[in-house]
Amino acid sequence: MIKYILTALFLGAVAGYFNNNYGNLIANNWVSGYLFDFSLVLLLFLMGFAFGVDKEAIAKLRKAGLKILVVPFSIALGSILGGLIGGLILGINAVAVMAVSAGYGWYTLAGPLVGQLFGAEFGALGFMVNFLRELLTITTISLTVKIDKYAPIAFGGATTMDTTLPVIVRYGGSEALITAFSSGFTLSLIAPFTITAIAALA
Amino acid sequence: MGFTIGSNNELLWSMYKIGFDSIIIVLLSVSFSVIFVKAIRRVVKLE
Repeated sequence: MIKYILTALFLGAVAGYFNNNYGNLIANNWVSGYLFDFSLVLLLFLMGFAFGVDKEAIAKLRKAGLKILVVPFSIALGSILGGLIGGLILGINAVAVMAVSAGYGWYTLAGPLVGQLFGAEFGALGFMVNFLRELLTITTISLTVKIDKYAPIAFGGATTMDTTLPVIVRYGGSEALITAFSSGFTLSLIAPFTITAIAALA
Repeated sequence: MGFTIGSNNELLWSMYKIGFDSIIIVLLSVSFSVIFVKAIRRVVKLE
């Protein structure tokens, strides 16, 4: 899936570059405005739909109990604090960077949503930060699992319910499955709300 | 999103800076996430 997303992003960037520099065949504001908004709303609808139809997801979360929810909320707090400190160190809009970090690795959501709320530059940052988070989780898992058995789950953020779940189970064992899944599920659920809530602070 | 980035020349030429910023932000985000999870595990005593 990653290769299709990156190909689409690259082709979009090339199309945008040529459109902007060699004749405006497509109005930029139409793509950046209407089409962008429409695809974002469609993405959120499909995400809600997927959660709604997945009976197993709700059952797994219930089985794990409320105690397990402290893990995703700690990850969320840590990510947002890391974003705040990062924004302050780099001297860029710290609120926007907090919103970027509140994507918790979900780059297909964080990029477009942050882009709409804070501008294209932060949209690109949102995509890249969250994309790197997923890559980092997969490439460093053999090391992070030695820090703490929950460290790969903290690294993966929202991605631990799907893309990084197999590697987490491979290195963390089957007992990591429920925690990783429920953590990723909760973070995926709260990501759109935390991003928009943080944007309200700006 | 790719189209929006590609049609903004200023943004396109600042991608190297965005890449550098991304590395700093992602490292801080995951580090604090791990610290918070380790701390909460001691408080709540998660297995």
